[in-house]
Amino acid sequence: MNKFSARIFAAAAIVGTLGALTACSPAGPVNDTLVVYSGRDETLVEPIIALFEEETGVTVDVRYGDSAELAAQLSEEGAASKADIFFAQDAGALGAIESEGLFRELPTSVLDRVQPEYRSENDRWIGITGRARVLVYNPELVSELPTSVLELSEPQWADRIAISPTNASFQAFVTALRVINGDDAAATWLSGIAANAQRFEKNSQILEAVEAGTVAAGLINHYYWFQREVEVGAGNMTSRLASFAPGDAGNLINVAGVGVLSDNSHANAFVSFLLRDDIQRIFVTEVMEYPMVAGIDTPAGITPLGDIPTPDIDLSNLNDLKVTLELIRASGMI
Amino acid sequence: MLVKALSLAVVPLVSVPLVYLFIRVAEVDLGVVVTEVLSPRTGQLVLNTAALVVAVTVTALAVGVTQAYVVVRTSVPLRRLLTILATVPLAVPSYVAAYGWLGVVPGFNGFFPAWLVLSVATAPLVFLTASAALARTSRSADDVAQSISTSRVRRHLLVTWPTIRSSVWSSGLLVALYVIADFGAVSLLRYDTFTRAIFNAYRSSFDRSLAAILGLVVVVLTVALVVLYRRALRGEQSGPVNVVRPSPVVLRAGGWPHAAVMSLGAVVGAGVPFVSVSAWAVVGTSTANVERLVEATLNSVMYGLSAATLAVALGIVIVVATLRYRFTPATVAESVSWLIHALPALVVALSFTFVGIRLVPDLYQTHVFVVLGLVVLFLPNAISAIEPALRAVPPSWHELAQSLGMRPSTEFARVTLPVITPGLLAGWALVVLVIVRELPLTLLLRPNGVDTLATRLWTETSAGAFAAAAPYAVTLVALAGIPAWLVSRGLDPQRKMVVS
Amino acid sequence: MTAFVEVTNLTVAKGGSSILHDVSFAVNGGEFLSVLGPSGVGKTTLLRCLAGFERPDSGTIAIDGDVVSSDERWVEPARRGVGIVPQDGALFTHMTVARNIGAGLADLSSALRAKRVAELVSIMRLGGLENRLPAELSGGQQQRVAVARAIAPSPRVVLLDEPFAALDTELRTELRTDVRELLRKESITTILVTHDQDEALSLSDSIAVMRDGAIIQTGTPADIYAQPADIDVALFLGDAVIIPGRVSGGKVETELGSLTPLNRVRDGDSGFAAVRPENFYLQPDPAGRAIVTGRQFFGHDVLVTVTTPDRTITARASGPLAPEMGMKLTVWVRGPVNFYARPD
Repeated sequence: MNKFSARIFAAAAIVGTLGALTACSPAGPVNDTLVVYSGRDETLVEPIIALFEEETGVTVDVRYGDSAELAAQLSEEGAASKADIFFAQDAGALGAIESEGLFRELPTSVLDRVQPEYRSENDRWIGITGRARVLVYNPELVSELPTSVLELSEPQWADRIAISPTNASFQAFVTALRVINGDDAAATWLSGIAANAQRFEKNSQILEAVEAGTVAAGLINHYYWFQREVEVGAGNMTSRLASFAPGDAGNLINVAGVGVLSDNSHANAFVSFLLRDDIQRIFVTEVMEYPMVAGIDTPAGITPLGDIPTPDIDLSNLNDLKVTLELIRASGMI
Repeated sequence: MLVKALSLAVVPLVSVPLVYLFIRVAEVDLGVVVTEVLSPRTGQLVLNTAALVVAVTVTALAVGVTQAYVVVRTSVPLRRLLTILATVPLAVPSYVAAYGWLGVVPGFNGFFPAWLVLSVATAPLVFLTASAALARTSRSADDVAQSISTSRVRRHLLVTWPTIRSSVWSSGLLVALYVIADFGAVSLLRYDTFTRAIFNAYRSSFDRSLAAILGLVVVVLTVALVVLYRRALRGEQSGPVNVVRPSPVVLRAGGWPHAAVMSLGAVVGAGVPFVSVSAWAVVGTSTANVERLVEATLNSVMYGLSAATLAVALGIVIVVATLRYRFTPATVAESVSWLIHALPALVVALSFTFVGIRLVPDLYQTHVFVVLGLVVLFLPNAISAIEPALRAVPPSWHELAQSLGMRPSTEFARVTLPVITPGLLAGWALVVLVIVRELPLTLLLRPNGVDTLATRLWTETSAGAFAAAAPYAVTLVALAGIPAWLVSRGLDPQRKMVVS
Repeated sequence: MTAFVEVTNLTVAKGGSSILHDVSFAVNGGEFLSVLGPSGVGKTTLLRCLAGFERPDSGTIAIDGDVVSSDERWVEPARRGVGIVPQDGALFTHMTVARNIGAGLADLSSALRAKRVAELVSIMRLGGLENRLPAELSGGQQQRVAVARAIAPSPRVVLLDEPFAALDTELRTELRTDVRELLRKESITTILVTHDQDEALSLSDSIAVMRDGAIIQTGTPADIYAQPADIDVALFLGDAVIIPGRVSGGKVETELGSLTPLNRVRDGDSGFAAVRPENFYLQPDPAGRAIVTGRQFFGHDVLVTVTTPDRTITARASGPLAPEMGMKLTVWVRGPVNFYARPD
C-alpha cells in the first residue's frame, strides 16, 4: 500500500473512532419534550408538529418509520419505551400496540371529538384523519366505470385491474368486504381478483402503472393520487379517481390515528391539538385527507364521508385481520 | 491476551439476534411452531429462496470474478474508472434499484427480474474480494503455468483458481446470505422469499412469533451454507506472497470491448435506477433542502467510517484468533455473524431493540448503538475480505518475526499488516459502501430525528417526492465512488506491492 | 555446426530505460551455460525473453534452429519446449508433489505420466513425499520438486532462475550436484542465471558475464577465471588484489617485483595488475617488510592477511604451511597475472 492510501486509511480510522466516541452522549431528559413515533410520512406530519412546537414551546422529538415496523419496535421496547405518542398510518398497527397493553386510556374530552367507528373500543387510540379506498383509472382504457368493487372480479376485468394484496389498506378493505358481503362472497371475490389482477407491492406503483397505461385501473388510497398531482403539477395527471356506489365495501375509509404511551403531560395536549378544527382543516387542505371531526368540509372532488359505508367492524382487531389474511393467502396472492 | 479477549467479547454481541429469536419462538406453543415449519408455504419459501440464492450466487461469482480478472490482470484501459463502475452498484439500495427498473420496464416482476437486480447488486461483493486476491497472483507461478500449458483454461486452473479460491467461497457465501436477507428487491419485484414472508408477518399480521419462527428457519438453513463454506475452506493452504505481479495480459483491440462489456454491470445496477430516478426529478416539483442533504451526508459518512473501521478491526481480531491461535470462541463468533447476516435487517434491529432497551437503556437509540448494530450486521463483509488476505501470509513469517524478538503487536504492524493491506482496504471499502446504503436497521436504531442519505431517500420516495429524492440518490452514488476509487489505487497491476 | 540456443542482438527497453542492449550469445546442445552478474543487470529479463514471458523490442531467439522470437515470429511459451525453475520454486500450492511434477505432462496417458513422475521422484530423491502439499515441504524439497516439474516434460532447454539462492550452503551444494547430474543424464541444454560466482564456476560448461544489460565476456569457467575481461570482472569472479604497475620491456613493474603479464600489453602503459590470493607466495623472512596481521583457518587452506608498507593483501596459503600471526615475510607473486591498462 502506498503512503497516500495508508494515510487516508489511518485518517478514516481516527475520524471514525472519534465520531463513535463523541456520539456517546445521549440527550439528557428534558421535561418539555414529547417523543413521537410516527408511521406517517414526514412530509405530511412535520408542518403540523412545527405548529404544535411553536404554540406550546414543547420540543417534539419525532422518529419516523414504517407503521408496522414501529409497532414491532414499540412492542419490543415494551414498558421501557421512551415514546410518548404513536402516530400510525392504519388501525392495525394501533390495534397491535393496544393488544400489547401499551396504550393509556384517552380522556373523554378527546374521545368525544370523533365518532366511535373511528376510535378504539377500549378508548386506547383515536383516529385523526381518514383516507378512502378508491378506483384509479386511465380514461383512455376505461369507458364504463364499475358501480361495485365486486364487478372487478368478473372476466371483463381480466388483466385490467391492479391491486396490492400485501398492503394494509387493501387488507382492511377485504375485512370490510367480509363484514358487509360475508366470508364466502369475499373468498369468491378474492379468487376472481387473483385471476384478473396485476399485483404490485405498493399503492404508488399501481398509480404509476395506471398513469403509464400498462394497466387500466387499480385500487388505491385516494391521497396517493393527490400527492402525485402535487409532485407533477395540476393538470398533468392522466388518470382519474372514482368511487363505487354509496354503501359499497370498495369505498372503505381507513384511519390514521394516535395513541398515548406515557403519562407525559404534553401527550394528551398533542392529541387534542391534532383534533382541533384548524389543524383538522390543515390535514384536509394540505394532505387531502378526510377530517375525523364533524363539521369540517371534505376535500373537493372526493366522495363525502356520509356516502361511505361505516361497517360495524373494528379495523384494529387483529383476530379479524388474521381471518382476512388467511383468506387472501388461500387465494394465492400473498 | 488481547486478541482472545476481544474475540470473546464479540460472541455475545453477535449472538443478540439469535437469543432474541429463541426467546420469541419459546413463547409460542410447540404445536404451532411445528405446524408453521412443516406447512406447504414454508416448503415453497425454501424452494423459492434456494432457487434465487443459487441463481444469483452463480451469476454474481461469474460476473465479479471476470470483472476482477479484467481489472487486475489485463491491459484494459481506464482501469480506475472500471473499478469504480464495478463497485458502484453496491451503493444503490436494492429497493431503489428495483424501483428504478420498474420505472423503465413496467410489469418487471418475478424470478428473472429479482435475479437480475440482485445479481448486479451483489457482483461488487465478489469483485472487491476477488480483486484483492488476484492482486496477490504470483508472477513466477504464472510464468511456470505459461511454460507448461497452451490452454488458457488450464493455466487459470493452475494459477488463478488457487489464488482466488478462498475469496470466491467467502464472497459467494456473502452473496448467498445477501440474497436471503434482501427485502427491497424481492418485495418490489414481488418474488416470495423468507425475508419477504418475515416482513409480511410483521406488516400484515403484526405477528412477531410467526416472524421469529420463519427467522429461525432461515438460521437453520444458513447453518447448512456455513458448514458447506467451512468444508470448502478446509485444507486451504497459504500461497507464496508475491513481490512482483505478473505482467498484464494483453487484450485484443486494446481492451476497449472488454471495458465496454465491463461497464454493463454499472449500467444495469446503477445507471438504470439513476436515470429512472432522475427522470422523476425532471418531472417533479418537490425540492430537497440543502441543509438536510449536507446533514444526511455527514451522518452517512460518520456511520460508514466508524462502523466500517470497527468492523474491520473486530474482523482482524476474529480472523487472527481463528487462523493463528485456533481460538474456538472466535470461530463461533465468526460463524454466528454469518448466520445473522442471512436474517432480515429488521429482525436484527428488533433484537437490538429488545436487548438494548433492557440492558443498556442509556445507549439505546444513540449513535453508538447504531454503529454496534451496523457492525454486527456487516462483520461478515469485513471478515470475507480479511480472511483470504491473512491466509496468504505464511505462518512462518509470524514465527520468524517472533523469533526475532518482536512482540505479536509489533509483528502484526510491521510484517502482517503491510501484506494484508490490499485485502483490508477492499474489505473496509466494501463495509463503508454497504453501511452507507443500509436502511432497515438505521431506521429503527437511529437517534430520533437523525437522518442518513438512505433514510432520507426512503422518506422522500415513500411520500412520492421523487424530485426531492434524486439529490440523495446522486449523493449516495457519488459517495460510494470514494471508497471505490481508494480500492482502485491498490489494484493497479503496474504498481508493485512493497513488502519490506 | 550452429548452436542449439542462439540469441542475437536482443534488446529490451521498458519505460525509456534500456534493460538489455544488443545481447548475443550461443549455447551448444546439452551444454550448461551460466549467465553471471550482480542483481539488477537484466539477467531475469533475459531469461523471461527466452521463456517467452516477455517480448523483446528487437533481436532474435532461436532454439534448435526454430526461431521462437523475432520481429516476424512469436512462439508462445508452452510451445517452445522450455522448462523453468523460478527462484521461489512457484509450486502450485493446491497440488501434491506428484501432481506438481506431472503438471507439464497433460498430454501423456495417466500410466505414462505416473511412470515419468515416479522416475523423477526417484532421481530427485523425493521418495515418500509424493502426496505432500508444498506447504508441508522444506525449502530444499520444494526446489527439488520445482526442478523435477521443469524437467519432467523433457524440454529442449531448462532455464534456472537462481533456484538455489534461498537455500543454506549445505543444501545448496547437495541440490546443485543432483541437478547437474540429472541435467547431464538427460542431456538437456541449460541456462542458469545467477549472481553467485562459485555456483557459475562449479556448474557451468560456459559462462556469460553480464553487466548493465550487456554481455561483456563469455568463455569457459577456467578461461574467465584466469583472464577476466576487466578489473570489475576480475573482482566479481573472486578475490583479487589490485596492484598498480607499469609496463616496461614486456614485464609489469610493481611494488612486488616484476611480473609476467598473461594478456597482451604495450610498453609504457600504466595500470593495474590483478593478483589472485592463491598466486601469492609468502616467504618467511625475519628481515621482511611485510607482517601477518590476520589469519582465517579453513582446514584445507588458510586465508592470510598480510600488511605491506603499501597496502593490505589477502593471500591463500596451504593449511599446514601457513605463516602464523605476527610473522615477518617477503611477498612474492607466482606465475603470470592479468594487467589492465588505465585508459589514456
